[in-house]
Amino acid sequence: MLQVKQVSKSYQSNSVLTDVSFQMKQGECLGLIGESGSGKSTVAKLIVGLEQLDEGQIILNGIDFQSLKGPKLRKARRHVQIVFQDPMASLNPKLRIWKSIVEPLENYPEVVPVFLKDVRNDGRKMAGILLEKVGLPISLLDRYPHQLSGGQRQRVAIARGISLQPKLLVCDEPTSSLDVSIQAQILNLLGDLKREFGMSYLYISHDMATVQYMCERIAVLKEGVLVDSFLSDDLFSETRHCYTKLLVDAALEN
Amino acid sequence: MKTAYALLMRSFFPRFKVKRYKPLALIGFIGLAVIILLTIIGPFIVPNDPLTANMAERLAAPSLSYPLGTDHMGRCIFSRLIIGSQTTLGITAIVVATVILIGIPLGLLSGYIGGRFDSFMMRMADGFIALPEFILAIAIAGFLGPSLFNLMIAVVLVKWISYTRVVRSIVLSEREKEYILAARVGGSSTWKIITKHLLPQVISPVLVLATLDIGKVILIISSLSYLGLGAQPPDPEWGAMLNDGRPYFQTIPELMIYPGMAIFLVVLSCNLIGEGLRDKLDVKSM
Repeated sequence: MLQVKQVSKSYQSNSVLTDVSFQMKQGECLGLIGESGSGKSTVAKLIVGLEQLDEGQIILNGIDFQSLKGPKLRKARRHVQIVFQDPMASLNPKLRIWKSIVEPLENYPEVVPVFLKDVRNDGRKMAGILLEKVGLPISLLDRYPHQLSGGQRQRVAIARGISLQPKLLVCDEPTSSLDVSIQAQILNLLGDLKREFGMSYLYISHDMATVQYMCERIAVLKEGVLVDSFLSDDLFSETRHCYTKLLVDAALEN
Repeated sequence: MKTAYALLMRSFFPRFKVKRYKPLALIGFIGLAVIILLTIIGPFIVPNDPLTANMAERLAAPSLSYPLGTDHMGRCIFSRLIIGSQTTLGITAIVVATVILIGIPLGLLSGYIGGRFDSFMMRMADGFIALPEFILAIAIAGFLGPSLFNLMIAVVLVKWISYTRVVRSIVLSEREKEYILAARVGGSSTWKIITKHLLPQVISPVLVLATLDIGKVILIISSLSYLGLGAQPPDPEWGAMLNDGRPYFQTIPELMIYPGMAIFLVVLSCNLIGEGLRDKLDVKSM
């Protein structure tokens, strides 16, 4: 479904990604792991189209993003949505949350997700259904982001992410700003949503344990180079790249 | 009982949460309200026609018919002050509103779109800023010729820069935040991002800047009128009245004290309100 082919990206003369390639199947969760500065977030931004790549190709459902412009690009983009790390920063502090949730639906009036087809013209009702999908009470519709807890905010961000029923949801460290107990809830929620909608996740994190829990496959990024890629069951296998072993050891020590 | 109290104390606008009670801001607010009220009902309460000269009564002391005395042409100072506030405050309001309407869109576009438009705007702003505001206003007003309309143009031309810059700097820091990125991924157009996400972020700081600026604008207008570049005789205007009283400063200082006090009170009120708003709206660095 998603193919990333030999992608390179640099800012000024700083090379951030070099020759990164991987593929994802429909309904699959791929974990992308690496320490800070390894280029994980750049991969996310390239895939959702927030950055332009220097070399290579990103192909989603057989469509090459780079060759599209204008309305066609907009149309193709709606199949990829993103959930950011810090839900406080990713929700507009001056908007009631239901307005943030339905914003993508307003932008793509032609998209009618299955679970919203009866109320497609009513923003509040759509937001209410989406809130229920992420396990929040409808009574929160009119709150502002600062009136919610961190976990609730991240659920709101996820509700916005799934509102267009995207084929791929990019999760850029969605749990790393949350408490451990809340982290587990969010991971379970993401798991449930994936089963319900058959979405694929590109799950980006520096936390071995959550990635291994969430994902079927794991890719390891080091200084902009994809050094290792394997099924998550093979995490402790002897054939792992030495850098992966280093990360595993570091995670086990904690 | 406690719930009722909490409901009562709950702020009507949750975003405008009151941080700390500000009696000074309240004083400023009341002061400005009284002055504006006087301006509105002024034409109905003035005892004399502000334009009628009466040379027999020139430089008269305060009396029942002339509450603050008369000026060098025998015109009622009290009436001139009240009617003159229409000119002074009216022009200030027009100037500040125009400056906001120019400054916000230019700042939003300059900050969000960036590129050549941004460079062009900022180099132009640098050019204006290279000279002191007041000198520049004198130069422009002098170049255009003395009239109230040209005075307004001159003040707007020197004032829009700071608004554009403030708005631009806020936009520059906001546009990289994740909620803007999320809106872009969600398919929002540039227009929608600017109007729906960025505009609300700049309104409070601009409001504070504007209230703090009203005082300065009044001073510029009055100063230019004092120099003869604004209101033309015989129209009453506070700065022009100061100018009229100048030759008599040593013998009858009241001629300058009354309009001076009026300017002082308005500027003080606006500054008190501005500082109160700054604290209330939690706008930093201004």
